[in-house]
Amino acid sequence: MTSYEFLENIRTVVGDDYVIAHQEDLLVYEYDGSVDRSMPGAVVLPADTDQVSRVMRIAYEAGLTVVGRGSGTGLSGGAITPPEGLQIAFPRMNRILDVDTVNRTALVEPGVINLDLDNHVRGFGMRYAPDPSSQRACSLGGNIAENAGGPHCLAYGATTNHVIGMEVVLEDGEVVHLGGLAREAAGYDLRGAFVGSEGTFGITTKILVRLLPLPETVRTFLGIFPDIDSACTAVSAVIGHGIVPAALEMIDALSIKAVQNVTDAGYPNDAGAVLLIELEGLNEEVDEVSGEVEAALWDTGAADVRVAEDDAERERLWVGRKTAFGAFGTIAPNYYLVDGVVPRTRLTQMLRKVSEVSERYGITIANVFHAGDGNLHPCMLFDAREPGVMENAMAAAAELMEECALLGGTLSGEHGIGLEKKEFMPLVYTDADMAAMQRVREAFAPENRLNPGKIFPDGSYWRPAAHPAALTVGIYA
Amino acid sequence: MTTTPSIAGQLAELIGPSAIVDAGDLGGYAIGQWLPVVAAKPPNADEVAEVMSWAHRTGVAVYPSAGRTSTQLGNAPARPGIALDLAGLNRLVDFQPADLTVSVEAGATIAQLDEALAQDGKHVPIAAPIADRATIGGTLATGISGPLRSAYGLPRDWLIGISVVGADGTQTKAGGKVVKNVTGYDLNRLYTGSLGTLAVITEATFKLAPAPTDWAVILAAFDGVDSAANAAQNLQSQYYAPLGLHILTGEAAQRIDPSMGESALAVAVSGGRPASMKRRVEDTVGLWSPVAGTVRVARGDEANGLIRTLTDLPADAETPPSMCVRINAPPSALPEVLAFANVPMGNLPPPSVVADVGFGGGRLLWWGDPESADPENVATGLRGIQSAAGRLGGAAIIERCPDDAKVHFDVWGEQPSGMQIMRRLKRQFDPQNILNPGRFVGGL
Amino acid sequence: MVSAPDRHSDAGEHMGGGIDAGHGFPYGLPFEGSLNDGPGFAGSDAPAEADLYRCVHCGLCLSACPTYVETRLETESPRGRIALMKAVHEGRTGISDRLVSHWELCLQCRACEAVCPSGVPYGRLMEHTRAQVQDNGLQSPELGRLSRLFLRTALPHNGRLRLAGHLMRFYQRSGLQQLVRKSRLLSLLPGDLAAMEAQMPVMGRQFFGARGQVFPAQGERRMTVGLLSGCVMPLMQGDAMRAAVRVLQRNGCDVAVPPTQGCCGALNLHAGDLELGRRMARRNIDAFKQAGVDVVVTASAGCGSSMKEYGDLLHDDPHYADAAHEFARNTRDITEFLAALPLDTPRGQLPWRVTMQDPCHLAHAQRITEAPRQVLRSIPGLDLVEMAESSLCCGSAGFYSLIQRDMSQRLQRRKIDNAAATGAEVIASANPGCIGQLEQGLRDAGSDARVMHVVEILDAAYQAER
Ligand SMILES: Cc1cc2nc3c(=O)[nH]c(=O)nc-3n(C[C@H](O)[C@H](O)[C@H](O)COP(=O)(O)OP(=O)(O)OC[C@H]3O[C@@H](n4cnc5c(N)ncnc54)[C@H](O)[C@@H]3O)c2cc1C
Ligand code: SF4
Ligand code: SF4
Repeated sequence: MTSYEFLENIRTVVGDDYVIAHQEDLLVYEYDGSVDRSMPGAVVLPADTDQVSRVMRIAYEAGLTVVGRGSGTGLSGGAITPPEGLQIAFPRMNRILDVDTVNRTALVEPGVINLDLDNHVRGFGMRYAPDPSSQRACSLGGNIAENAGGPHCLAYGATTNHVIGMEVVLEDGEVVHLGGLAREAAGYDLRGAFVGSEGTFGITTKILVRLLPLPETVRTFLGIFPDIDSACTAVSAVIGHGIVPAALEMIDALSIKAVQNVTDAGYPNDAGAVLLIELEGLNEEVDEVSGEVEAALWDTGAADVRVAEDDAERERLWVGRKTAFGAFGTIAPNYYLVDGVVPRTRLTQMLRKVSEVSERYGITIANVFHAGDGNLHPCMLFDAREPGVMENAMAAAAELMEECALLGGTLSGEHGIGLEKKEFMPLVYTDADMAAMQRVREAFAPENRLNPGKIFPDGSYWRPAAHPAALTVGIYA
Repeated sequence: MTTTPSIAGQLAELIGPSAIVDAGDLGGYAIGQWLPVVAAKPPNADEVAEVMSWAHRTGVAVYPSAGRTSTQLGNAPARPGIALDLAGLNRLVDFQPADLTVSVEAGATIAQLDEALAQDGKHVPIAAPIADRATIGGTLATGISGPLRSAYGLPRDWLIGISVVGADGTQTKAGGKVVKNVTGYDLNRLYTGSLGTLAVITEATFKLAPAPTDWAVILAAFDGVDSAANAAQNLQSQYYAPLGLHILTGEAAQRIDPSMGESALAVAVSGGRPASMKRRVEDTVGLWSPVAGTVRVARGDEANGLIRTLTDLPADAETPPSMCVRINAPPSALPEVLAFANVPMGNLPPPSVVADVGFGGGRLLWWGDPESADPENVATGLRGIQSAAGRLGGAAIIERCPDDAKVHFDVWGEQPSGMQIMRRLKRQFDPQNILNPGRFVGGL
Repeated sequence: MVSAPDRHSDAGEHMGGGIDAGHGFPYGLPFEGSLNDGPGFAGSDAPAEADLYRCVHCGLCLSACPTYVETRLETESPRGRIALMKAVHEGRTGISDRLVSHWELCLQCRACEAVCPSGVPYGRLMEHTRAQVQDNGLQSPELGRLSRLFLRTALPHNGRLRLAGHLMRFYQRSGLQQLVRKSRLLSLLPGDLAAMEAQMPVMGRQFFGARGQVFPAQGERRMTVGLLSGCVMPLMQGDAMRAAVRVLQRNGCDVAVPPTQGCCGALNLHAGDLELGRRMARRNIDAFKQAGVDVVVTASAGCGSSMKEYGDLLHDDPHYADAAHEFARNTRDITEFLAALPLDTPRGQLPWRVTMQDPCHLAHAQRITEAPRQVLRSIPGLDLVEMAESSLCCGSAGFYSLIQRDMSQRLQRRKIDNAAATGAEVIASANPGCIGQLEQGLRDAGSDARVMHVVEILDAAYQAER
């Protein structure tokens, strides 16, 4: 098969409109939500499992590398495809195939948008719990690949706790089913291993998710604190009281400012930090726990504790949290975010490190993160057009990741390793640990045709290049 | 001519004679009629690694065990080998109540862990029969779960980090000590439920939950499984749905509450804080009273005792069932699962059924003496159950049955989709097939 | 994760081994066509770097974009269109027909802008991009022809427009249209002209002829408002204009219609004709200043949104910058104006089931969605039901429907289906373009539902008091 024949062959499978091979069009398939960029050899947009399987078979025979792409909101370069590779994108496979109210499940295609699914099943009195801040855009297929999290994963667990079955196309085009309606099955938990494999094990073509019934009561608190230290203490106090709220998020002063620049989320401008806490459950339970949460907040030095009066106010508080990253655009044109995790009791220590790093490197850092499970998102704000600033930010990020590892934490809580963090893997795993992981990949994809070159260190240090405007060479007239 | 020292001798040299179990005690390590050549009981992970490297060099098969409460599970061993007893690794390594995490060695028992965590009002909501013997490692390896699985999930949902010794003796870990982690592949879930065929688990880290401070078990007798199923499904759809909800028939029901008579018994297990518990119990009783024969509420110690009995039904210490089948099926198949109670399978009498309303599926249990039954007939009956379960969109795993019957079929049922991946996994992790050979699905 | 600072890389040089090279073809896949060396962005009207790099390619705008939702292609998405602008800005490729085709498929509905958490000024970026396209003569032939015909020749001149309107009305009402449509005459016209005939807006029975009058307030006088009569609206929707005047009078406003005003220039601006747009803006600023009004009110969401951006448009005009800002500050959409009044609540019953279609230039460009609903909810007996995707563009988008027929019709059908699903008998809108598009969609679907401007409905409620 020549390379031209290859394109012809996949065109006969999906139709001419859905094979993209002109470089000018490929310009828009070279990025995801992160920084890296690479123009794929071609992009194919299949419409169903059969097309996926046939395309994969053809690519396998042609010896090609294949990289999946959902909505391209990933933050670790997962969907970035090398020029020799074929990108297989799922926006057309976006049907919700079935909602089962007895078993509380939904069967969807991988291109379904997270929020669309949640909105749809709410019509049946249920919900899809994982709620990444990108939920308006990200796809279920991408969520599975990254094992995406979100604020409400504190109580309900990340994507892996909510995906019970999958139809998967392997690198050679074979279709297999992992997991299913029955929550337990004989044999190895391939479904569990697959979630979070960053597109290296197989291509997901159907997804069976577990849905939760809607709670009787939801109550949202805004704890207002004079500084970040006291807010951290409050987090420990709440968890230490034996309370695991549905969500527990922290927003620091700088992030408050950014958010309030764009929209009035109801965060006080002069607060040192706010905690957004949500309780869900039976009326009696929420009442009972509310008292304890409020007490814990006051005891740890809250300046004020507010409760959202109605859905509109609750919505407003959450909009602020969920648009925070975008709102950083009002402070600086660029940001770089670290996704490290530390044990919850180490939050204070870690955030002190963050501010120390911020000072030492002269980089502004904002913090808006999943405090309840210790998942930080220190976010460096800068103008990449200034020469040298990118390198500086990368060095600061490396220090922060090292600190997370030192404190008994890890590199990534929800965004994945991808290209971006692969060289940092030795901070938390030995060669033997990683060899064991690689064995699983060998079992799923013996030829290593799916998204190769991600996750594991191979010496090719990932380094985002400087912004064009920061380059002295005048190639960008 | 030099004589190679015996296997026991080689191992004693490696890990010390005190770590070799007396030959007279080998009977305790029987897997059905199979007996190990030697049983080694190393005191720590390094010594486990020594044993595994030795096995790797010699190609001798290794059958890991610890509490030996579930040795019945699985096909018969494929060949002779040694028993590797992990009960020596029983330390609580690191308990961080404020972080809500705990690390514990694989040989520690569930009861031991429960007790330590309870000091601080925490728990890992995993459960296995005979908690004072069942170990953490064994529970993870079998993937077994307790009666509250519908609310709390499976052991794999609580495991955040794991240390293992590979088939070649290499010690590796996966995951970590934080509750949220996507750094590298999720091997926690792969090792959980792998029946020790990929690696030997030496240590596990769990995330914790605050333990309910108050428990109640609400029991209701119904005149038949249909009315019990309706009432239970109704309760399951309420805001105050319990943590565990089961329908029991026959002997199983009798064991929970003999006073309830020969009827179908619905059992709801609720836990929480005092104020919400009042509502949970009252509303449940209110919902069931009009439709049930009798409704009874057990609190405090009685409730705890009932939860333990419920957990131990598949394998209690004194009078375990002679046969036990786990049905994996979706919740919508509740009527079909309950229907097993009326169907004799071949020569087998109809079983007692314990149906898990919220999670789906359940267990079929037989007490009495199956040894008298013809093994081939037993196998035919069990195969029939397996194909019936397959038609429900699930599977039946024979957790306990006479050894002679096992030669006639695979206790794990039909080979699942993705079997080729599982075979490749096994080859990758254990190329010489020395870990628990022959015991898992399709002879893995 | 880093936001905007994309690494410059061309195919092949990427990642220095970061990704394992494919096993397949030694020379990679054959790109079909390569990046071009056509003209780049240049001059002071080029899209601003600061605007471009504000896009962090997060993708949060994708699901709001009608053309993306319809095609599922990243090339037809806001993020993709911006990426293409960036590529030109960075000198990686020049402007080509292919790039232009992706930009021209954009409806400029600005749904993306409304949801962008980073505040990317997409509307401005696209106007400047289109300006660059136009400067280089690279528009599609359809758009070129249309812009010569309408945008440059007719719109800036009310006289010519009126004449054309009269001819069109004659054509439609005399029966000539029927005749022509039945004959095969149309098939002799070039494709896009035939389509224009099919899409020709139905001319109102009576044009809104007011020019220069002041309609006096009823009851206590609150203020003087200037009403934009604009260009095509008085011709196509004279009824709506008259309703607007009556409603304003009823709410205590003297309504002035300054004689020297003209088209707001929105269509020219969207097409990238910034200079002509600026001329038209200056004319309107002068016209309303002379009339001495307190606020400028428009019943056309499209006009309102562009008038509210006059400040931006003329920011470096030494003579007009301040006046333009003031003009923009004082401009109100009529629903916005009425909702803020407080409105004189109608006492007449209108037992209608109504669904609101959010015009893009109201909902996205001006971020007004509550005001028209508030007005509608004030009407006794009226049952306001929400349709799915109420703020997804109906495909009208100025002259878009003439140039991008296929996409326009797909969106029109989608909109009509969504509206029909509510069972509403009236679709409320607030923009002349949308009203025309919806009317035609209803006709094609054989539906008896009607489309009305929000003020027409309010007016009907006032009328029903008698
Ligand atoms: C503003 C913003 C906020 C975010 N907030 C969060 C957050 O709160 N929590 C969180 O977890 N993440 C967050 N993310 C990251 C991102 O949204 C998630 O990682 C998401 O799961 C990616 O989904 P996607 O559809 O965009 O996948 P893509 O980026 O397209 O792809 C991600 C990976 O999935 C693979 N993939 C995609 N589809 C398939 C398929 N069908 N089969 C196999 N592999 C596939 C790709 O190859 C790639 O490796 C955020 C991102 C942004 C831009
Ligand atoms: S939402 Fe805004 S920042 Fe994000 S991709 Fe769209 S335009 Fe760019
Ligand atoms: S203006 Fe409308 S059509 Fe154009 S990119 Fe934005 S949302 Fe899409």
